[in-house]
Amino acid sequence: MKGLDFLKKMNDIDYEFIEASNNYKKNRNTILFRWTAVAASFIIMAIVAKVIYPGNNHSDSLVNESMVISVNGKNYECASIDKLIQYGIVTDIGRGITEDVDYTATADECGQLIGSVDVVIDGKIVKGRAYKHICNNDDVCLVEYPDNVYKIYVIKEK
Amino acid sequence: MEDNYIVDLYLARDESAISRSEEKYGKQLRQIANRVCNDHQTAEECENDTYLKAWNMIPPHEPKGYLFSFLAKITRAIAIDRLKEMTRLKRSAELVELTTEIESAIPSGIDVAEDYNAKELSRIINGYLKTISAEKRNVFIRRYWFMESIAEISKKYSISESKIKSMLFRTRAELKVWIEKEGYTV
Repeated sequence: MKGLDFLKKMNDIDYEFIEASNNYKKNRNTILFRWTAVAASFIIMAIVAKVIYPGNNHSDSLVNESMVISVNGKNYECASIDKLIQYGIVTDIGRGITEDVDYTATADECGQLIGSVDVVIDGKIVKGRAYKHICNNDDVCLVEYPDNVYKIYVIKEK
Repeated sequence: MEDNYIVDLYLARDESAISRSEEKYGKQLRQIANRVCNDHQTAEECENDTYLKAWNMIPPHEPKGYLFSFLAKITRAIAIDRLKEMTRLKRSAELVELTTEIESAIPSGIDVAEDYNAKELSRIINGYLKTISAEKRNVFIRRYWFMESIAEISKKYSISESKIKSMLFRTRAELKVWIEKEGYTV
Protein backbone atom coordinates (compact mmCIF):
# COMPACT_ATOMS: atom_id res chain seq x y z
CA MET A 1 0.00 0.00 0.00
CA LYS A 2 1.64 3.16 -1.27
CA GLY A 3 0.23 5.57 1.33
CA LEU A 4 0.91 3.28 4.27
CA ASP A 5 4.49 2.68 3.07
CA PHE A 6 4.96 6.41 2.92
CA LEU A 7 3.57 6.87 6.43
CA LYS A 8 5.83 4.12 7.73
CA LYS A 9 8.92 5.56 6.11
CA MET A 10 8.29 9.00 7.50
CA ASN A 11 8.55 7.53 10.99
CA ASP A 12 12.06 8.90 11.42
CA ILE A 13 11.28 12.58 11.22
CA ASP A 14 13.12 14.71 13.77
CA TYR A 15 12.31 14.16 17.42
CA GLU A 16 12.11 17.89 17.94
CA PHE A 17 9.22 18.19 15.47
CA ILE A 18 7.29 15.43 17.20
CA GLU A 19 7.93 16.87 20.65
CA ALA A 20 6.99 20.36 19.47
CA SER A 21 3.70 19.24 17.96
CA ASN A 22 2.89 17.25 21.09
CA ASN A 23 3.64 20.12 23.43
CA TYR A 24 2.09 22.79 21.25
CA LYS A 25 -0.36 24.93 23.15
CA LYS A 26 -2.43 27.57 21.50
CA ASN A 27 -1.40 30.85 23.00
CA ARG A 28 -4.25 31.99 25.24
CA ASN A 29 -3.32 35.58 24.57
CA THR A 30 -3.84 34.92 20.87
CA ILE A 31 -7.30 33.53 21.55
CA LEU A 32 -8.14 36.44 23.84
CA PHE A 33 -6.83 38.89 21.25
CA ARG A 34 -8.94 37.24 18.57
CA TRP A 35 -12.14 37.47 20.63
CA THR A 36 -11.35 41.03 21.62
CA ALA A 37 -10.89 41.89 17.95
CA VAL A 38 -14.25 40.28 17.12
CA ALA A 39 -15.99 42.20 19.91
CA ALA A 40 -14.32 45.45 18.82
CA SER A 41 -15.43 44.83 15.24
CA PHE A 42 -19.04 44.47 16.35
CA ILE A 43 -18.84 47.69 18.34
CA ILE A 44 -17.34 49.56 15.37
CA MET A 45 -20.02 48.13 13.07
CA ALA A 46 -22.73 49.27 15.49
CA ILE A 47 -21.25 52.78 15.68
CA VAL A 48 -20.91 53.02 11.90
CA ALA A 49 -24.48 51.79 11.45
CA LYS A 50 -25.68 54.39 13.92
CA VAL A 51 -23.82 57.14 12.06
CA ILE A 52 -25.08 56.05 8.65
CA TYR A 53 -28.64 55.39 9.82
CA PRO A 54 -29.21 57.83 12.67
CA GLY A 55 -32.89 57.02 12.85
CA ASN A 56 -35.92 56.41 10.76
CA ASN A 57 -37.40 59.68 9.60
CA HIS A 58 -40.48 58.11 8.19
CA SER A 59 -43.73 57.57 9.92
CA ASP A 60 -43.36 53.79 10.16
CA SER A 61 -40.86 53.89 12.96
CA LEU A 62 -40.60 51.21 15.57
CA VAL A 63 -40.41 52.26 19.16
CA ASN A 64 -39.54 49.88 21.91
CA GLU A 65 -41.75 51.46 24.41
CA SER A 66 -45.27 52.60 23.85
CA MET A 67 -44.64 55.61 26.07
CA VAL A 68 -42.45 57.13 23.36
CA ILE A 69 -43.15 57.11 19.63
CA SER A 70 -41.47 58.62 16.60
CA VAL A 71 -43.55 60.20 13.86
CA ASN A 72 -42.02 62.03 10.91
CA GLY A 73 -38.70 62.21 12.67
CA LYS A 74 -40.11 63.71 15.85
CA ASN A 75 -40.28 61.93 19.14
CA TYR A 76 -43.44 62.10 21.14
CA GLU A 77 -44.19 60.91 24.61
CA CYS A 78 -47.48 59.87 26.03
CA ALA A 79 -48.82 62.96 27.70
CA SER A 80 -49.01 63.28 31.41
CA ILE A 81 -51.75 65.39 32.93
CA ASP A 82 -49.22 68.17 33.52
CA LYS A 83 -48.26 68.17 29.85
CA LEU A 84 -51.89 68.25 28.76
CA ILE A 85 -52.49 71.23 30.97
CA GLN A 86 -49.32 72.87 29.63
CA TYR A 87 -50.56 72.46 26.02
CA GLY A 88 -54.02 73.64 26.93
CA ILE A 89 -55.66 70.38 25.96
CA VAL A 90 -57.27 69.78 29.29
CA THR A 91 -59.20 72.42 31.05
CA ASP A 92 -60.93 70.18 33.51
CA ILE A 93 -58.30 68.30 35.49
CA GLY A 94 -60.90 65.76 36.47
CA ARG A 95 -61.36 64.73 32.82
CA GLY A 96 -57.85 64.51 31.51
CA ILE A 97 -56.51 62.19 28.85
CA THR A 98 -53.34 60.77 30.29
CA GLU A 99 -51.08 57.81 29.69
CA ASP A 100 -53.28 55.98 32.19
CA VAL A 101 -56.63 56.81 30.66
CA ASP A 102 -57.84 55.59 27.30
CA TYR A 103 -59.88 58.03 25.27
CA THR A 104 -62.32 57.76 22.43
CA ALA A 105 -61.87 60.62 20.02
CA THR A 106 -64.33 62.11 17.60
CA ALA A 107 -63.50 62.63 13.91
CA ASP A 108 -63.11 66.35 14.50
CA GLU A 109 -60.60 65.84 17.22
CA CYS A 110 -58.32 63.65 15.14
CA GLY A 111 -57.20 66.12 12.52
CA GLN A 112 -54.86 65.27 9.65
CA LEU A 113 -53.32 61.79 9.44
CA ILE A 114 -49.60 62.32 9.71
CA GLY A 115 -48.36 58.73 9.73
CA SER A 116 -48.51 55.36 11.33
CA VAL A 117 -46.40 54.02 14.15
CA ASP A 118 -45.55 50.67 15.63
CA VAL A 119 -46.04 50.71 19.34
CA VAL A 120 -45.27 48.05 21.89
CA ILE A 121 -48.03 47.12 24.26
CA ASP A 122 -47.49 44.33 26.74
CA GLY A 123 -44.56 43.10 24.69
CA LYS A 124 -46.58 42.94 21.46
CA ILE A 125 -46.05 45.27 18.52
CA VAL A 126 -49.25 46.87 17.29
CA LYS A 127 -49.79 49.39 14.54
CA GLY A 128 -51.21 52.77 15.42
CA ARG A 129 -52.23 55.71 13.28
CA ALA A 130 -50.97 59.11 14.27
CA TYR A 131 -53.05 62.22 13.67
CA LYS A 132 -52.06 65.80 13.95
CA HIS A 133 -54.23 66.86 16.81
CA ILE A 134 -56.77 69.40 15.66
CA CYS A 135 -56.36 71.53 18.73
CA ASN A 136 -52.71 72.13 18.31
CA ASN A 137 -49.69 72.15 16.04
CA ASP A 138 -47.18 69.33 15.37
CA ASP A 139 -46.25 69.36 19.01
CA VAL A 140 -49.28 67.25 19.78
CA CYS A 141 -50.48 64.12 18.05
CA LEU A 142 -53.23 61.67 18.65
CA VAL A 143 -52.54 58.01 18.17
CA GLU A 144 -55.30 55.63 17.32
CA TYR A 145 -54.71 52.13 18.62
CA PRO A 146 -56.18 49.12 16.84
CA ASP A 147 -59.05 48.78 19.27
CA ASN A 148 -60.26 52.31 18.53
CA VAL A 149 -58.89 53.89 21.62
CA TYR A 150 -56.74 56.98 21.42
CA LYS A 151 -53.91 58.44 23.36
CA ILE A 152 -52.49 61.87 23.16
CA TYR A 153 -48.73 62.24 22.68
CA VAL A 154 -46.85 65.49 23.06
CA ILE A 155 -43.48 66.39 21.64
CA LYS A 156 -40.66 64.98 23.71
CA GLU A 157 -38.35 67.58 25.08
CA LYS A 158 -34.68 66.94 24.39
CA MET B 1 7.91 12.56 36.82
CA GLU B 2 10.71 14.08 34.81
CA ASP B 3 11.58 12.29 31.58
CA ASN B 4 15.28 12.46 32.38
CA TYR B 5 14.71 10.58 35.62
CA ILE B 6 12.85 7.83 33.76
CA VAL B 7 15.66 7.61 31.21
CA ASP B 8 18.11 7.31 34.08
CA LEU B 9 16.06 4.38 35.39
CA TYR B 10 16.37 2.69 32.00
CA LEU B 11 20.08 3.36 31.96
CA ALA B 12 20.39 1.91 35.48
CA ARG B 13 18.47 -1.16 34.28
CA ASP B 14 15.78 -0.45 36.83
CA GLU B 15 12.56 -2.18 35.75
CA SER B 16 10.44 0.53 37.34
CA ALA B 17 11.40 2.56 34.25
CA ILE B 18 8.75 0.61 32.36
CA SER B 19 5.97 1.23 34.88
CA ARG B 20 6.95 4.91 35.06
CA SER B 21 6.83 5.16 31.26
CA GLU B 22 3.48 3.42 31.19
CA GLU B 23 2.16 5.71 33.88
CA LYS B 24 3.20 8.83 32.04
CA TYR B 25 2.79 7.95 28.38
CA GLY B 26 0.84 4.68 28.22
CA LYS B 27 -2.45 6.27 27.24
CA GLN B 28 -0.92 8.34 24.44
CA LEU B 29 1.02 5.38 23.09
CA ARG B 30 -2.10 3.20 23.06
CA GLN B 31 -3.94 5.94 21.19
CA ILE B 32 -1.24 6.07 18.52
CA ALA B 33 -1.34 2.30 18.10
CA ASN B 34 -5.11 2.19 18.12
CA ARG B 35 -5.36 4.84 15.40
CA VAL B 36 -3.26 2.57 13.19
CA CYS B 37 -4.60 -0.86 14.15
CA ASN B 38 -8.16 0.08 15.03
CA ASP B 39 -8.11 -2.67 17.66
CA HIS B 40 -7.73 -2.11 21.39
CA GLN B 41 -6.13 -5.45 22.17
CA THR B 42 -3.56 -5.09 19.42
CA ALA B 43 -2.89 -1.52 20.57
CA GLU B 44 -2.12 -2.78 24.06
CA GLU B 45 0.24 -5.40 22.62
CA CYS B 46 1.97 -2.67 20.62
CA GLU B 47 2.33 -0.61 23.77
CA ASN B 48 3.88 -3.52 25.68
CA ASP B 49 6.24 -4.29 22.79
CA THR B 50 7.25 -0.63 22.86
CA TYR B 51 8.49 -0.86 26.45
CA LEU B 52 10.41 -4.02 25.70
CA LYS B 53 12.04 -2.46 22.65
CA ALA B 54 12.81 0.74 24.57
CA TRP B 55 14.36 -1.41 27.32
CA ASN B 56 16.64 -2.96 24.72
CA MET B 57 17.45 0.33 23.00
CA ILE B 58 18.32 2.34 26.14
CA PRO B 59 21.30 2.24 26.32
CA PRO B 60 22.91 2.94 23.90
CA HIS B 61 20.20 5.53 23.22
CA GLU B 62 19.66 8.17 25.86
CA PRO B 63 16.45 9.96 24.89
CA LYS B 64 16.74 12.67 27.50
CA GLY B 65 14.40 15.50 26.62
CA TYR B 66 12.54 13.50 24.00
CA LEU B 67 11.41 10.33 25.74
CA PHE B 68 7.84 10.63 24.54
CA SER B 69 8.73 10.98 20.87
CA PHE B 70 11.28 8.20 21.25
CA LEU B 71 8.63 5.82 22.61
CA ALA B 72 5.99 7.10 20.18
CA LYS B 73 8.23 6.37 17.19
CA ILE B 74 8.66 2.79 18.39
CA THR B 75 4.93 2.34 18.96
CA ARG B 76 4.04 3.81 15.60
CA ALA B 77 6.48 1.59 13.73
CA ILE B 78 5.34 -1.54 15.58
CA ALA B 79 1.67 -0.69 14.95
CA ILE B 80 2.18 -0.15 11.21
CA ASP B 81 4.14 -3.40 10.92
CA ARG B 82 1.41 -5.20 12.87
CA LEU B 83 -1.25 -3.77 10.58
CA LYS B 84 0.59 -4.97 7.50
CA GLU B 85 1.17 -8.44 8.97
CA MET B 86 -2.26 -9.10 10.38
CA THR B 87 -4.81 -9.31 7.64
CA ARG B 88 -7.56 -9.77 10.22
CA LEU B 89 -7.16 -6.18 11.27
CA LYS B 90 -9.74 -4.07 9.53
CA ARG B 91 -8.40 -0.72 8.43
CA SER B 92 -10.46 2.11 9.83
CA ALA B 93 -12.14 4.52 7.46
CA GLU B 94 -10.00 7.26 9.02
CA LEU B 95 -6.76 5.44 8.17
CA VAL B 96 -7.92 4.70 4.62
CA GLU B 97 -8.77 8.40 4.17
CA LEU B 98 -5.44 9.42 5.64
CA THR B 99 -3.36 7.11 3.44
CA THR B 100 -5.29 8.25 0.38
CA GLU B 101 -4.56 11.85 1.32
CA ILE B 102 -0.84 11.33 1.77
CA GLU B 103 -0.61 9.51 -1.57
CA SER B 104 -1.34 12.86 -3.20
CA ALA B 105 2.03 14.05 -1.84
CA ILE B 106 3.89 11.25 -3.59
CA PRO B 107 5.14 12.24 -7.03
CA SER B 108 3.91 10.00 -9.82
CA GLY B 109 6.39 7.41 -11.01
CA ILE B 110 7.95 6.99 -7.59
CA ASP B 111 7.64 3.69 -5.81
CA VAL B 112 7.97 4.60 -2.16
CA ALA B 113 8.68 1.03 -1.10
CA GLU B 114 11.49 0.65 -3.62
CA ASP B 115 12.88 4.09 -4.34
CA TYR B 116 13.43 5.44 -0.88
CA ASN B 117 14.59 3.99 2.35
CA ALA B 118 13.11 5.39 5.55
CA LYS B 119 16.15 7.51 6.37
CA GLU B 120 16.20 9.13 2.93
CA LEU B 121 12.52 9.91 2.96
CA SER B 122 12.66 11.24 6.51
CA ARG B 123 15.62 13.43 5.58
CA ILE B 124 13.68 14.87 2.66
CA ILE B 125 10.57 15.44 4.78
CA ASN B 126 12.63 16.97 7.59
CA GLY B 127 14.16 19.35 5.08
CA TYR B 128 10.73 20.40 3.90
CA LEU B 129 9.29 20.73 7.43
CA LYS B 130 12.06 23.13 8.36
CA THR B 131 10.91 25.52 5.63
CA ILE B 132 7.28 25.88 6.78
CA SER B 133 5.68 27.66 9.72
CA ALA B 134 5.41 25.96 13.12
CA GLU B 135 1.63 25.89 12.84
CA LYS B 136 1.63 24.19 9.44
CA ARG B 137 4.32 21.79 10.59
CA ASN B 138 2.47 20.83 13.76
CA VAL B 139 -0.79 20.26 11.91
CA PHE B 140 1.00 18.13 9.32
CA ILE B 141 2.65 16.03 12.01
CA ARG B 142 -0.55 15.60 14.02
CA ARG B 143 -2.28 14.37 10.87
CA TYR B 144 0.33 12.19 9.18
CA TRP B 145 2.55 11.18 12.02
CA PHE B 146 0.13 10.92 14.95
CA MET B 147 -2.65 10.03 12.48
CA GLU B 148 -5.20 12.17 14.24
CA SER B 149 -8.51 13.06 12.68
CA ILE B 150 -9.16 16.57 11.38
CA ALA B 151 -11.68 17.06 14.20
CA GLU B 152 -9.10 16.12 16.86
CA ILE B 153 -6.53 18.52 15.42
CA SER B 154 -9.12 21.26 15.15
CA LYS B 155 -9.99 20.87 18.83
CA LYS B 156 -6.39 20.60 19.98
CA TYR B 157 -5.13 23.65 18.11
CA SER B 158 -8.35 25.74 18.09
CA ILE B 159 -8.29 26.00 14.30
CA SER B 160 -11.38 25.46 12.16
CA GLU B 161 -11.63 22.14 10.32
CA SER B 162 -11.90 23.88 6.95
CA LYS B 163 -8.70 25.82 7.63
CA ILE B 164 -6.91 22.62 8.62
CA LYS B 165 -8.09 20.88 5.46
CA SER B 166 -6.89 23.69 3.23
CA MET B 167 -3.62 23.93 5.17
CA LEU B 168 -3.01 20.20 4.71
CA PHE B 169 -3.94 20.38 1.05
CA ARG B 170 -1.36 23.08 0.42
CA THR B 171 1.26 21.30 2.53
CA ARG B 172 0.83 18.06 0.58
CA ALA B 173 1.11 19.89 -2.72
CA GLU B 174 4.27 21.69 -1.57
CA LEU B 175 5.74 18.47 -0.19
CA LYS B 176 5.14 16.75 -3.51
CA VAL B 177 7.08 19.46 -5.32
CA TRP B 178 9.80 19.27 -2.66
CA ILE B 179 10.18 15.50 -3.01
CA GLU B 180 10.35 15.81 -6.79
CA LYS B 181 13.03 18.43 -6.46
CA GLU B 182 14.98 16.47 -3.84
CA GLY B 183 14.40 13.20 -5.64
CA TYR B 184 16.64 14.28 -8.51
CA THR B 185 19.54 15.01 -6.22
CA VAL B 186 19.38 11.80 -4.17
